[in-house]
Amino acid sequence: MLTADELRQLQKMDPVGTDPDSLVDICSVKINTALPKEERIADFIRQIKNPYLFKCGDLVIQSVFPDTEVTLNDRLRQYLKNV
Amino acid sequence: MGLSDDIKKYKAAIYIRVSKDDGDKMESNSISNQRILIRSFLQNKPDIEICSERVDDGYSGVSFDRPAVKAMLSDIREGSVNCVIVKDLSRFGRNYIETGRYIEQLFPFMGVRFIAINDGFDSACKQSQSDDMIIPFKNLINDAYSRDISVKVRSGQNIRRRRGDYIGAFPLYGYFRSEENKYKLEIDPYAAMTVRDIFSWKIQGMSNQGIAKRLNTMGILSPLEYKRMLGWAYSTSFQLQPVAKWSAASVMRILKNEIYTGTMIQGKESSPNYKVKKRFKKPQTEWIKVADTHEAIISKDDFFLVKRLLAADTRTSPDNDDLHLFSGLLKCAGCNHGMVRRPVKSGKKTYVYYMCRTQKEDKNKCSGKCRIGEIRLTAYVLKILQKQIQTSCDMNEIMDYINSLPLKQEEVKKTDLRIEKKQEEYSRCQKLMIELYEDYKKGIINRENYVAWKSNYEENCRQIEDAVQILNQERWDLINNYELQNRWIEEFKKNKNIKELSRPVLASLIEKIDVIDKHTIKVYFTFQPEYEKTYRR
Repeated sequence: MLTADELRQLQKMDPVGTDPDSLVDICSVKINTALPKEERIADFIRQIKNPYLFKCGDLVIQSVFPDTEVTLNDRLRQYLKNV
Repeated sequence: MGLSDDIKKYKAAIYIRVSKDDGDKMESNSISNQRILIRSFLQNKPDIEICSERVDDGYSGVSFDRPAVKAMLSDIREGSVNCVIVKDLSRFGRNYIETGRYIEQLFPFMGVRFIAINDGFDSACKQSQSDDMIIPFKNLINDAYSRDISVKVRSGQNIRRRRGDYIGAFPLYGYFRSEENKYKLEIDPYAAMTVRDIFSWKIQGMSNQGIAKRLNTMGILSPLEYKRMLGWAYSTSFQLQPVAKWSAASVMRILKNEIYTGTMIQGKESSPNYKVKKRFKKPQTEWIKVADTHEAIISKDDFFLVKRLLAADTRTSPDNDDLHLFSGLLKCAGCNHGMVRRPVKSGKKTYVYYMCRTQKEDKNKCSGKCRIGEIRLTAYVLKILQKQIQTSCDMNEIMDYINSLPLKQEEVKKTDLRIEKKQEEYSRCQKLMIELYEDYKKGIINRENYVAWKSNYEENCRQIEDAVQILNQERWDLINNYELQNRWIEEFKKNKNIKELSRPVLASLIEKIDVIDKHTIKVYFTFQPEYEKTYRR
């Protein structure tokens, strides 16, 4: 299992020059939504290997998150309120 | 100037001015008192003949932009007046530079005699050297009155602004003044509903022009017309059409106004001093902001989301009111400029690509190879968001939230309220038409004006009827739509996830996407990942 420090290191990986074959395809990740949230996240990271750099089909994706207290739930509520 | 020429008859203008703003003592400076004083002074002056009496009631002496003073000066230029008589110097003006220029330069040059009775000044009498010295000082002191009042009023206003008291002449659209405290804002439920709709529609991807069009079709009154309907004495010199409609600019003003989040922001513009009336915009750092002074109409999250959307450079095609899915969100990682959407025909099919605008204009400026197909990008971004939701969303909480959302019945209520407002407007219009007819019968207005105004009102009534019809249709659609909730919400409830990528999803969850090349993208989310939180346990 990764440590918090190792996780931070993964954020710094440069997508340019990374071999796409070394990355996990997010479509292959199976998420058991019955698990509690923290276990789900841990399981996701275990499968995806690097949650900040992975691929989706033939597209390499780097995820960048802001330094904020706002959670995905907050944003989803905002979305649902405005549609 | 014939100073001792007794035979010469002076053609005089009496000038009278009174203004509360100048701190005038109303009794000694009342119009009738000034008139009596000047007329009795002239009783034993056979060489002076009164030609005109000019009165500025309620005009400050700081500016010479006063109707009566302007008329008098034009008489002087025409030569029909060559003598000006005032009670004292401060009546003529409180601006020592301008007053001095007239009394010491222009009047002597044009041969105009100037008399300020209580200051013992008469330009036709020989002036001693000390008199010449005294007049500018008197002007300066008269000026100081205005300066003093201006300083007091400005500091008083600033204290109020710092306290978060609303000191605008009219409350902004969406709010009323509180009846208990006129410096506090209270939500106006009807207008607040429109403000909320404007923000929601913006998040849903409508252009400002599209929002304005929709509001106008629904017959919702623009802020200016709404003020009029409430009977407020609001006037503006900017209005071009008889009935002000919503425009992209008025929608923009609402979307950019942070006051809707409950934070009071005032002092955005001011004039440099009491003599210059032109107002200048102040830099944002100097605005006076006080948080939580009144109830918010828009949450801070929504306001800043809209702010971000407005900052992105987007356009909609003239015959389309909605933005394209990725408008303003895609950036070329090579030059950091926005990417443009280009439909490309291939055989019978059309493929849509996003490409770097800089590179398209000049290949030397950006070497990025970031052309990317819309279908592919949409599918992948949807996939990533779905996985994010599956992984880090607390679904029970979201389902509870959905169940707490107002159902379609609320929308019906909203439409009912709008129809009711329209009916009020209609009866007001009818009442105005009756009054107009009475005015015509009494001879207050002529036939030509009557016909013109009548057709205006009739047009108004017709528009209101149209709007009511549209609102009724909307109401009918809402009631007969068997789903009680919005399609997107229903879908989310059913799938416990988003099913397709829409503009509001993107706007809420993704800040921007940098395209590095056609195989690599960088997605900037708007929320924390909560990965580290899990690991710190």
